Amino acid sequence: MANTIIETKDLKKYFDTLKGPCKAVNKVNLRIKQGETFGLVGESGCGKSTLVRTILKLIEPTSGQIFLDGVDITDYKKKKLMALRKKMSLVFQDPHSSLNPRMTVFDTLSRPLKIHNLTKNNEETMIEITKLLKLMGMQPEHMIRFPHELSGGQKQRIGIARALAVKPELIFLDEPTSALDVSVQTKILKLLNKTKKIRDLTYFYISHDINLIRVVSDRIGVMYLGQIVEIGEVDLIYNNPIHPYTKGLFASVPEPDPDKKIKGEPLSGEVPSPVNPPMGCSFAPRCPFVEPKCREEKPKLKLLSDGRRVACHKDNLR
Amino acid sequence: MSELLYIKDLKVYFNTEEGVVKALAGVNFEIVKGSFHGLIGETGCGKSVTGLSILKLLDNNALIEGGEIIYKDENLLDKTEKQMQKDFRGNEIAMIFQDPGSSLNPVFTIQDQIQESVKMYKKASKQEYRNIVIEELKKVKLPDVEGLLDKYPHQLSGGMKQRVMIAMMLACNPNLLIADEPTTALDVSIQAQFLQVLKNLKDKFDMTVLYITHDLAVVSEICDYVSVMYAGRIVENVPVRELFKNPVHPYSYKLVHSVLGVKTFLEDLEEIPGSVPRLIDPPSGCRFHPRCEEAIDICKTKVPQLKKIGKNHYVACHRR
Ligand SMILES: Nc1ncnc2c1ncn2[C@@H]1O[C@H](COP(=O)(O)OP(=O)(O)OP(=O)(O)O)[C@@H](O)[C@H]1O
Ligand SMILES: Nc1ncnc2c1ncn2[C@@H]1O[C@H](COP(=O)(O)OP(=O)(O)OP(=O)(O)O)[C@@H](O)[C@H]1O
Ligand code: SF4
Ligand SMILES: [Mg+2]
Ligand SMILES: [Mg+2]
Repeated sequence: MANTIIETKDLKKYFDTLKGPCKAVNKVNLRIKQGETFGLVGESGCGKSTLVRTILKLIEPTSGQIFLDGVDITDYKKKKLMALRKKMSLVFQDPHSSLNPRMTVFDTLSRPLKIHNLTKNNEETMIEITKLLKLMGMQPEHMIRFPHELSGGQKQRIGIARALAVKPELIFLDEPTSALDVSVQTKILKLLNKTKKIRDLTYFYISHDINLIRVVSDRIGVMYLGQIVEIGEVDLIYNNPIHPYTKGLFASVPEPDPDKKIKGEPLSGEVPSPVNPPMGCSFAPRCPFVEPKCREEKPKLKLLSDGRRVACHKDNLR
Repeated sequence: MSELLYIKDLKVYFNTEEGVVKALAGVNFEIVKGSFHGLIGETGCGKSVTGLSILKLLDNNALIEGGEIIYKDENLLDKTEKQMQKDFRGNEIAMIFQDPGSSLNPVFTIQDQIQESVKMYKKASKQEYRNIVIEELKKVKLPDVEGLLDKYPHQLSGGMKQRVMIAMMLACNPNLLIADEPTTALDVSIQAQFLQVLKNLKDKFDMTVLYITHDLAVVSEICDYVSVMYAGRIVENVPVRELFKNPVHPYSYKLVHSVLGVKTFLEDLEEIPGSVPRLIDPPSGCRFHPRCEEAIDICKTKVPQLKKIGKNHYVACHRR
């Protein structure tokens, strides 16, 4: 069995708002194995980005614990955090906002190299950056560009290059290819996969692209309103989604065929607010299978015989 | 059929220290009123620049080298900044920008941002504005809309920001909506609902949409017609059904075939061989020739022009 690289215990991140705490991440227990690729999917606003930002300690958790290689990093501060930044990196969701508008591509990429002493002099830095750009299918002339002088997909690839630059052990990729066409996306995904094998990395993908998550992941987690509702081997969940939210999500995937329109009803109903989550199962207000118990009691993640875990009261959906 | 917008031989270059970037080198297409027109193509090929040219919101280092953008019989390229702002941007033509981060003002609340758009076409009292803003936000399925009004952009998730931007643009009630990758941060379910909202606006107000995207599934779901772009030129203008059944240009063919079929493994995914061309020093003749399996001598020297090959179907290729 591979070692656990990241583990969270009852991790919570609440944001203060005028109407009370926004429970963006609400008791997440997660275990990522060294060397695996984990994929996280879930509704927009359900807390995916907040979860990884908390794990990376870019924001302070409200409660719970985070372990990296078995070591509790929950209370790590400045200096120790710096060392973490070399071990774990993040490809931010919004490439535009994550790039400093006043820094050229060269400056953006040379910074992490310098901070972590990965290159000895300017010449080495230059060589390393040229290599990174080439890997990303970009050209040397992009080095002197500012973010606003790049296309959406070019900015996104600078974000990926930056995360790779420090040669981390674990990379979180938050919608890393949403601005790329299929062909360039495929190139980048294959490149990431190759790098992973060579350097024995662990990946944590977040994406709304269900097909992408399928091809890259070993295991996936489905998140709804701050909580994991289904988690397990990717093929199991794809071939037979069990949680009613997972079922609804997979049914809305459009196909590239003008004669086939979206099959399933998109999930209907009001999305509840994380400030006032429903008291029972958070999906109950929108669930087509809801029964009285669902509205009263929060379902726990239960282990099924095929190894996945599902948080749903109904046993007959399996 | 009448066209609402007509782009003819548009050329846009950018001045940079390393040389002139020939981003658009002859863009040609027309958008029929009330239609959904898709614009697809490789990353960096000039889709956003095309959209921004229509609204004349290009960067300072941009040079419009030539061409026409005819909107309702007027050439937008002749308009002054003042005329664009007063007569075209907003109520006539609105754009959902590719970067949600760049178009929302970080120091304004969500309520203020959307109210600004509503003000462009409607005078109302404070309370009325509030109600309209709430209505607009509900359309894009944002949760707890009232709680959202006083929030700032950084307090929202990626997809929430994107939906606020969509709401802001739909609030302008435009005739032509340019949607540049509007659903990249949305899950498939909210995306499906958004596409439905667009369809309703088309039925109700005859709204026209230029839809820029990498997502061919979305194209097949809502577009009537598609322009395929490669390295700054349109290589194929084609009705959507034809694009998927019978893509004619070698690039379109590869593009469409790289997404068809169910993919279970990364190795199943195909990429188009070769690399994205440099726009500072683009390939001569047909810009696709270095990557094209069918290229012949003339492809290296002569730029292929769009020619008609079927009903509403145009292709720029020497071999077709
Ligand atoms: N700084 C903040 N202050 C207040 N609320 C926040 C803040 N950051 C995030 N939130 C809230 O936390 C919730 C989860 O946001 P998060 O960005 O994690 O969602 P997400 O799952 O990544 O969504 P998307 O797919 O749209 O990117 C949202 O309701 C959001 O409004
Ligand atoms: N201000 C600028 N200065 C120099 N080059 C620019 C500038 N703006 C855009 N470009 C270049 O013009 C080309 C077209 O850019 P555009 O943003 O239109 O691409 P796109 O098709 O929208 O790509 P994506 O799918 O990645 O968003 C790109 O190669 C880009 O680098
Ligand atoms: S013109 Fe020539 S190079 Fe260009 S697509 Fe056609 S065959 Fe290929
Ligand atoms: Mg997010
Ligand atoms: Mg773009």
